[in-house]
Amino acid sequence: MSVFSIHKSPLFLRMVFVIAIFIMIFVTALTYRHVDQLTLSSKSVAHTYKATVEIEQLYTNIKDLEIERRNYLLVNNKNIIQNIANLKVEISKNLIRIEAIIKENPKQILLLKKLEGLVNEKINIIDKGINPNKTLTFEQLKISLLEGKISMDKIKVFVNSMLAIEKEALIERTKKNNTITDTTPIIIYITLFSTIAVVILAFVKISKDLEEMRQNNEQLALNNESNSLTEQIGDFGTWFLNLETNKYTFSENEYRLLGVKPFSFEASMEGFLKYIHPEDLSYVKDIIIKMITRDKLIPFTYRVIRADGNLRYLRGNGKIVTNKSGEKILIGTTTDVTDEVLTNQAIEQRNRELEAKNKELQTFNYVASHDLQEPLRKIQTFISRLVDKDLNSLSDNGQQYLLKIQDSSERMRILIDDLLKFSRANKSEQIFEETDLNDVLENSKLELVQIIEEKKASIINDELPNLNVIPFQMQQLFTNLINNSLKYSKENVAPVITINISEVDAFKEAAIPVNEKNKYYKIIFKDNGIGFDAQYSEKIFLLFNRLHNKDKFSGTGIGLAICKKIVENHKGFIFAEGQINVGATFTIYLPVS
Amino acid sequence: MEREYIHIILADDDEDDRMFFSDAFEELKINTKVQTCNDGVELMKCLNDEERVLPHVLFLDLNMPMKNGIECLEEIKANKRFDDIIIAIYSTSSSEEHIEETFIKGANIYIKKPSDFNELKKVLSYVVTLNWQYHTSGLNKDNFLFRM
Repeated sequence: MSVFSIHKSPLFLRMVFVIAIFIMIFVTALTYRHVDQLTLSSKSVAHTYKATVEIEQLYTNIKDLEIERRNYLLVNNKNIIQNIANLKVEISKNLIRIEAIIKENPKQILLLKKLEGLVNEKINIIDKGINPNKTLTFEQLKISLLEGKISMDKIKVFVNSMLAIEKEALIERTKKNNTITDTTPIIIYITLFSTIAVVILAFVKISKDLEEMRQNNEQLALNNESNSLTEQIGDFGTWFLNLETNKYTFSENEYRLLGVKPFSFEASMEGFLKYIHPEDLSYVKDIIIKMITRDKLIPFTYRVIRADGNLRYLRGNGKIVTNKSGEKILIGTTTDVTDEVLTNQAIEQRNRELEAKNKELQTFNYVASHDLQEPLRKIQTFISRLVDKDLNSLSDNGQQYLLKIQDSSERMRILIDDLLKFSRANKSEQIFEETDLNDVLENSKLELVQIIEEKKASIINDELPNLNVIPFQMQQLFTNLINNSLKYSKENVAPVITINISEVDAFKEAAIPVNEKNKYYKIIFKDNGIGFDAQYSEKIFLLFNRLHNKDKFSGTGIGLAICKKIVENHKGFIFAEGQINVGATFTIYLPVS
Repeated sequence: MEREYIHIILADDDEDDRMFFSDAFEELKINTKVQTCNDGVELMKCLNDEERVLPHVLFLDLNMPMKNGIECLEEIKANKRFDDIIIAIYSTSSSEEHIEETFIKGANIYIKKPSDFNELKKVLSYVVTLNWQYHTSGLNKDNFLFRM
């Protein structure tokens, strides 16, 4: 699960719940409004019915009044007068009730006023007609009846109009009521379903989050397990110090480093310090204070005495981090570095020994270069004086012995010289410089100019590159190789030495033992000398190894060993090939960069 | 009449070498006045004695007791009075370190003591008769070490 959705999830849920609450408030308000409207329309329906009933009641009463008047005109009975009086009271009550009912309808009020006028007019007519002492003529009776009928018809028209208005209102209200009652459930259902949908969505999201959380927890448990295992394999432990609560937490392996079972004591500084070597205690305490006050890693090594009494070296390190709740937590690691420390101590010891050995060797070099050379030089000088001045006064044997002594001391000088050169080729601190190999070759030729002229040798070489080398060693290499060719040249044949160079890929050269991509310069020294048997092509480079009797060819068997050493110093390779009486070939590979 | 001689001084603690040196100049037919000192201290005493004539050429051994050749070289080069003295290092050793150090410190030539008396004569004759003005102008680390 990505960090992004972890952060996003609660926000989404909050939004869902806010939306759901808004929908519910909306539904409640809507429902309330609809119920309210429903009540209102039901009330108005009832109101219309009431008005209709009342108006019809009025009309019935007026009709009864008219009937009673006719009866009175015909029969003139006192009981009828009483009935009329009762009806009049009823009618006025009717009118008051109607007025109360229809007071919100101005059209009806207008009609009612007119109706009221007609009714009063009628009552006046009736009141005028009721006179117990007066009998009406037939003609008068006829007029009176007609009057009654006309007023009755007028009243009927108004009553009908009022009824029609009420009926219309009723129809309209019923219709409106119906619309409201029709749409209300739909709106309620829609909002209900959308609420359910939102809640389901939230539920799905919550379950998904819960599932992710469960997976995370599993991963966390796995990580913890793997951490614990890593700590055991890597011989390190971790600990935390919450600087707010001052509470320590040690990992399992932190305990094992002290040689105790995990969680065998409560994690605390005191519990840990108990195992620290007394000599290191104040140092460790000091470092811990530094760790808390400084915001940076300070590695330090100290000793502990484990529960089993074993002395171990531990390396601690720690840093303060601030967690999301803003608490400062010191995270520390402890690593068992006993092996490393002991190895380092052993290496240091060995280095000291090596340094001492090197010094001895240097002293030996000095002895060889100076103290051995000096007496030898004197011997040789004295011999040279003896040979010059007094050779003739010696016997034949004496002369021969003296010359042998001279030869041998000269050989000894060469040997000491060569040994010195070899030991100098061993030195590793020589400085590499960008050098023109053509200059190096010229210097070598110059060094050998006497023997080159003597043997009438010719050296044919390619143009050589600039290369990062130890100049004097490179010159020694060239000199030795050319000198070798000159020394082992055929009698009565002028030596010809060719030096060819090419740039090659290491992996394409079978001779180069390492398989790498680097480019090398391949320098070939080829001569037309006496050559050598192919079987000696490796032995030829060994120190003090000679292929020829020293009476025939002077030499110490050191020259080519020096060559090999020099080439190796330059991270190159040297190989020799030979064929008896044809010549020898020396191939050098030097890395281009 | 003093100027007709080439004044030469050798500082070497080895008695035999002083003998070879003197003998060689005796056999060489060059007008030289050879003086020898047994060590660096004696050499500096000689040079600092204003009564004495300064040598034209000084042959300086490196490995000497009390005051070695390098120390002498430094002292001589620090003193303007000795500017005209040709200094030839005259040593058994031909180690790179010695050659480089003496070159840097201003010696004019480095001679490895030969192991043949005739060669010795040749070297000394070469050094003493060399046109130093010409040689010094073309001096570099490569021709500093004398080769036959």
